[in-house]
Amino acid sequence: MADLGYACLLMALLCAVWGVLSSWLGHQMRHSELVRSGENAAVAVATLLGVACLSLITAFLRNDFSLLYVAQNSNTTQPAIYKIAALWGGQSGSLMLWVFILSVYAAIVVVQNRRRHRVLMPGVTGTLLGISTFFLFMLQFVSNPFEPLPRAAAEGTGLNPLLQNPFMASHPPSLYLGYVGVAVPFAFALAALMAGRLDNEWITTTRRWSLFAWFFLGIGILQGGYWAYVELGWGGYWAWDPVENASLMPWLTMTAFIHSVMIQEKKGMLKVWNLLLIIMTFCLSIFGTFITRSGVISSVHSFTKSSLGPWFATFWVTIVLVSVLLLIYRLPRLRTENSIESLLSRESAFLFNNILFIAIAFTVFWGTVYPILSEAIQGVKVSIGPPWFNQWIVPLGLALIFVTGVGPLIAWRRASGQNLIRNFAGPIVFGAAVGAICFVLGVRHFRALLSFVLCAFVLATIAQELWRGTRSRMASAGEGFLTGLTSLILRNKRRYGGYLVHVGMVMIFVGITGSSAFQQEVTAHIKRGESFTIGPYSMLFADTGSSHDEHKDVLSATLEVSRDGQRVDTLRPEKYYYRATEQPTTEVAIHGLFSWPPNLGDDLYTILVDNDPQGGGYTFKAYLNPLISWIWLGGFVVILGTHVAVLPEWARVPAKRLSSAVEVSGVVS
Amino acid sequence: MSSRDRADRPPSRLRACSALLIAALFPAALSIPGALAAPQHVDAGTPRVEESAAAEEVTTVIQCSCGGCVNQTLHDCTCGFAASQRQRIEEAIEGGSTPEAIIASYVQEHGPQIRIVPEKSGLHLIGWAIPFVAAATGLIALTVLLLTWRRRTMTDEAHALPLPAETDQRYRDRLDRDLKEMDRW
Repeated sequence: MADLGYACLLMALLCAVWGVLSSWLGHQMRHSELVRSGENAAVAVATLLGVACLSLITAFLRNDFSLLYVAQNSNTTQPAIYKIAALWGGQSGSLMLWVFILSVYAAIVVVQNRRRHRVLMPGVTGTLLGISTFFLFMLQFVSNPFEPLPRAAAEGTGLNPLLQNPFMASHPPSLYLGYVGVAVPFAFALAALMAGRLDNEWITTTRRWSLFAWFFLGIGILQGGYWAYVELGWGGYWAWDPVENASLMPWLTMTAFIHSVMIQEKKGMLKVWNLLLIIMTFCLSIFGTFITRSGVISSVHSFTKSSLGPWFATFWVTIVLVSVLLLIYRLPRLRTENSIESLLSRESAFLFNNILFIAIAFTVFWGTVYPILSEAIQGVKVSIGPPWFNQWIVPLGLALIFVTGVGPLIAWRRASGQNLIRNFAGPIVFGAAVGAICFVLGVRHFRALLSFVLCAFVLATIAQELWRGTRSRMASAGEGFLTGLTSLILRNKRRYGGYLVHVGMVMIFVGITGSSAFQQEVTAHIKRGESFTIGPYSMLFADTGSSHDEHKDVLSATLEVSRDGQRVDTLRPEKYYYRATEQPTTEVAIHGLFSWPPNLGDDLYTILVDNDPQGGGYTFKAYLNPLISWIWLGGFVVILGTHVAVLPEWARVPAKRLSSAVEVSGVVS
Repeated sequence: MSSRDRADRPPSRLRACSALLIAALFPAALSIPGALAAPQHVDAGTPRVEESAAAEEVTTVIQCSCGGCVNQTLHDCTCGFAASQRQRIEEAIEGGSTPEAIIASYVQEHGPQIRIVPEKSGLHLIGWAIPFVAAATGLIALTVLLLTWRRRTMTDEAHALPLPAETDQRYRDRLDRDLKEMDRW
């Protein structure tokens, strides 16, 4: 099977190279058969890489330790699900998954568009296969997952125990679906620049692809956060680790892009900016892969230093140069069709939203590369940790929440005073009221208070929009409330799906604010029968236990949790000792969202830190994380909203029938 | 009852749903003050909390250098190495060392990268300030750009051939309607 996989990789590389050449030649010579051949090559690459991936998975399942990659990332006692997940547990396997996903996307794009976008397709196919060629070259010559060992190992090292978690099985593929998905709009943008088709065609064609990539990047980030929360045992979910940052940056610029394209679609403006944004997003996606693979920045996620760095750096610079040069070449034809009429307009709000997203992305980028720059310039290694990031990201994030509330409601072109009062008076009053209530109840943390006020403001703007829209449906179509609300959303899924996403993001902000501003922690060294408290919770150390399975020993402690004298839960924090790697890991126990009954107010997060076999003492660390569940709940709402936004429009409603409803909704002054 | 009548009267179900939405999203926020007010302590009779306030001044600044806990301070990290370092710091504090002196000894031993963030001094000040400068520049540039565009629009409008007020208004209304339509899709 390994030989088959190796052969498939080699053939995929040849097909990809042929695809690039034939697409380019076909376009230059206007030879449709050559173009078609390039498109077929994309399908062939996907098929061959599918076989290669299956070969490697089979090697894992059959414990084929004659392959270096299998021996490094698996062992005979590893559960089957983690043997499959080991495909992306190491460097070469994850690179193969990257290019496999890209090849599948390329095949889907070809099948979807080969008849619809004849002019753009050679450029699209060529770009996607060009990217594939780079990765296939790396797989073939620099980091081959089918590299054999001189002599087969009797047993493998096994997957890093920290990665043996269900979320780790799904988090990397989610991120890859996002990272790689960015390549599709990027390829269309490049094709549009090459072909000189600079209208909205590339944007409308890739709208769902953009949302798809954005969605999976976001879900991947959330899954990673949840994995860090339950697996790393430090009470948090985000540490501004360089690899975490690497996934956040393209998500931020992609979010800016998703907002900004609306201005191009509706007003023919920001063409250069949108092209820049998608180029930036793709470059950041490659930068993220570069950081993860090269080991130039130390991170809990990064693989050991490898020879991939210079290759990725060269590829990255090539992409930047080609894209920017093409953009400069087409600049004279990218003049904007319209102009902004007022600072108080939706166009302006979208631009401010974009600047804030880019400012946050730049801050994250700067914080990520600063240690390298410092070492290069001053010869001094420094670390950039959470306090540095929080100092800048928090105010920018708060400004972003404010714009999230303003953007969807302010009028296009020019907002009048009447429009502003009509749309914002209610939400401002509501936000202020929530702020006053929080203050009266004792919240004195200024940034947290401001965050709650702004979150309330945004929620009120959305609720007001839904209310007005539903009321107009009830008035115009005689529908009941629920029918009116449902039909309102279904008749404009993109808009109301977007609002749902905003609700989800606000919930995430509420969760971040609560858990970061009001976290409490206690460390206690206690013996069985003793107890300790944190916040309103009291924990009695009731019992200890130990067990083992075929690959690890488990030490556990039982904590009886009470709140206000009532027993609410039993928690069993554990410590795993993996025999193969001799690496201990903490398995936290949480009383929170996934407890029964669910606890939405706060998470009681407990860790068994250590034990003293002689003295009988155990060390526990407990965190109280207020509102943290809202981050995961918000994630679910974002998933729902994105699904609504990408649903196809079933039928267009005659414009006349809609206009009255819109006038009532007051979106436009 | 006509549909218009129904629209004029705020529907009670709508109010109820709005109230539910708010009630669903903010009770947890209202529970924060309680959490804030709750004391952070271990029960009487049980052993001590691990870190003193002075030790925490050190452990929140110094990173865990065990190699597996990147970007975690000694305070946050739960590995054995961090625990031993916390103990070491606690002992140094009890022995009369100041937090500043302990931090300095860590920096001398491991280099400046042992700090979770660089000191705000020398060239690192630029590193601290760059994000602010970039964000401020971006926002100012955008504002200037928007004002320039607005001025250009106003100039164009001033030089445009005057239309009869009624016609001009008709076109503006039409434009607004078209934008509304686009907003629907």
